[in-house]
Amino acid sequence: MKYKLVKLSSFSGNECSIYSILLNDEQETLLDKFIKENKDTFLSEIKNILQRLRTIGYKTGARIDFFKLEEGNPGDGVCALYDDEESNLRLYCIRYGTQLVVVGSGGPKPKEIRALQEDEKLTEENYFLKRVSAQITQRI
Amino acid sequence: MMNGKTMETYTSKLIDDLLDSIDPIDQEKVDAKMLLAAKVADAMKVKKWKNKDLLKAVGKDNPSIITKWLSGTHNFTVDTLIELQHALNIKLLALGEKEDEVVVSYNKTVSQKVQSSPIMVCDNVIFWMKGQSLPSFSSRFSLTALNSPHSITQT
Repeated sequence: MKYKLVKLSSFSGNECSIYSILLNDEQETLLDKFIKENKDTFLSEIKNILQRLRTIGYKTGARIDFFKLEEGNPGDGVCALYDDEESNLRLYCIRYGTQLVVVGSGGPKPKEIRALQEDEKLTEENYFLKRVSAQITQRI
Repeated sequence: MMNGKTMETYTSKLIDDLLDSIDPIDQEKVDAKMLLAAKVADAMKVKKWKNKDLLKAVGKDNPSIITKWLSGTHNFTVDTLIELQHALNIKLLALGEKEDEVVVSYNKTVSQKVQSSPIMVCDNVIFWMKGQSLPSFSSRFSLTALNSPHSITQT
């Protein structure tokens, strides 16, 4: 698995640096792909996610309450940007304190599922971020 | 990656176009929700309160409401903000506070030779020449002593 982390200039401010992942010399990040996959169906939610990332970067930092924790293994930082029962999208991230977030991908969150393992796309994106987190931890 | 090299900065036209399409007022609404949540979380931290402590203080039953309040996505009602202000002893609404004063200033130039009369009244201000005797006036007038008999500038 070859990938690199890139700092997203549109969101990274004084409060938090926000990164995403470029896979295998591709030209677009996982966040770009997530947006492309979902903007036609859930445009307002996509915009709200981007707004929240901008606020995190410039105004508040990545406060723990803004994320759903325990989406990964204990202590690996894998989480999801907060989404309530009514929201349709889930976006996985790796959070390192309030000042650094790696944004991965995610997908639609079908109402009928109770756990991410019931959805193939969410499972795939979540497992990928768990692997990235494990490798980052190994190299720090 | 993570090998000590500086990580590159990435700019996405897709993201920038979407951000540009967002009304600044909508961004301000998101900012406000997240900043309010942060302020509530900070106040809880000062009091060393867990979610259940705030739940009890505001008399709610469902623990998930506190998670939602702190998530930065909740559209707080005025009622809730007032309840939180009382529970946490913080200010979330700025109502009733004196707004910044609006100062209207003006310049007024009055030119009058005061040789014949050493006293002049203008806008409840009495101007008189230094050294001249001053009769008694009502206290609603303020007094300004002049050095020159020719020109008075009031600001």
